[in-house]
Amino acid sequence: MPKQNQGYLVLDHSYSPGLPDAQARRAGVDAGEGFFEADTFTCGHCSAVVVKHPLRVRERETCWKCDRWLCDLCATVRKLHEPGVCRNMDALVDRLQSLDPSDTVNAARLLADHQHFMTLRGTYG
Amino acid sequence: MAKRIAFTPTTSGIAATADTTNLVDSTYLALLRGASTTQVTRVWEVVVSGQVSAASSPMELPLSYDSTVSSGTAGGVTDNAVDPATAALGAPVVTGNTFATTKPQRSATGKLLDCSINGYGGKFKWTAYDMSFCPTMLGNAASTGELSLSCRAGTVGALSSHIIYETQ
Repeated sequence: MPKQNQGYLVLDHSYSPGLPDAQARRAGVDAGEGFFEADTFTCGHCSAVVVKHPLRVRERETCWKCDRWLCDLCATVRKLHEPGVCRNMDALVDRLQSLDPSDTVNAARLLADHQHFMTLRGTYG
Repeated sequence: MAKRIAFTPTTSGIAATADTTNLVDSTYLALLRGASTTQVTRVWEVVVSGQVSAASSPMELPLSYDSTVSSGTAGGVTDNAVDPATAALGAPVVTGNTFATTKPQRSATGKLLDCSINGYGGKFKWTAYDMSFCPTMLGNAASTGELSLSCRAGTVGALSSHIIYETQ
């Protein structure tokens, strides 16, 4: 598994009533009360930060082209709509920055294509 | 190419606002918007601190792309370089939680990080270890060119926050 794209999350409710359990689960944290810390990863395709739940046993998807972890939504889009397509955000950044600054048409086209992908992703969650 | 910190002092007028609805001035924590069509900004850290003094206030606080980008004179957020020796950006990222002309709207599909806390004593902190872990803001248009940190639902109350970001 790729070891890059990790971050660190702390949710401290040591001196607080905390979050309702349902809300905590939606946020991807283990418990709404007390002190919670976890590693996170950032999806290589959409840039969303995902809490690595310590009890998850289901495999995380990775993109074999960019070697980055994918969130469940991007993994679903890739599986159902765009098999084999890599939507790596850093590659998009590189393409944008390699354009001539006056080439706003191609810049807009690249961003619109990414927006289409984000809209598709949004239909699953 | 240096880190900057967008700090929002205690904001007591936080309001819960649905997706794709105008975020009213001073009812959300912060917003970052790119300064040009190809500008790239990475978010390194997000901290939200609960400042409610009396009663439990669980709030859902997504960091999200905006589907409608703001415009007009910005205010309400203090933006400074982390290192005081940093040279000023030629095209600085726009930060604020008040905008004179167009109010931003949070995207329904572009949530990046759930910063939910209980405003009564809660604290949220997320940090990236290096640039490949950072959520990316691209350009200055919908839906990747603007990020907002706002309350979507819950029992609202006072909060403060900061976002550390770096523009490439």
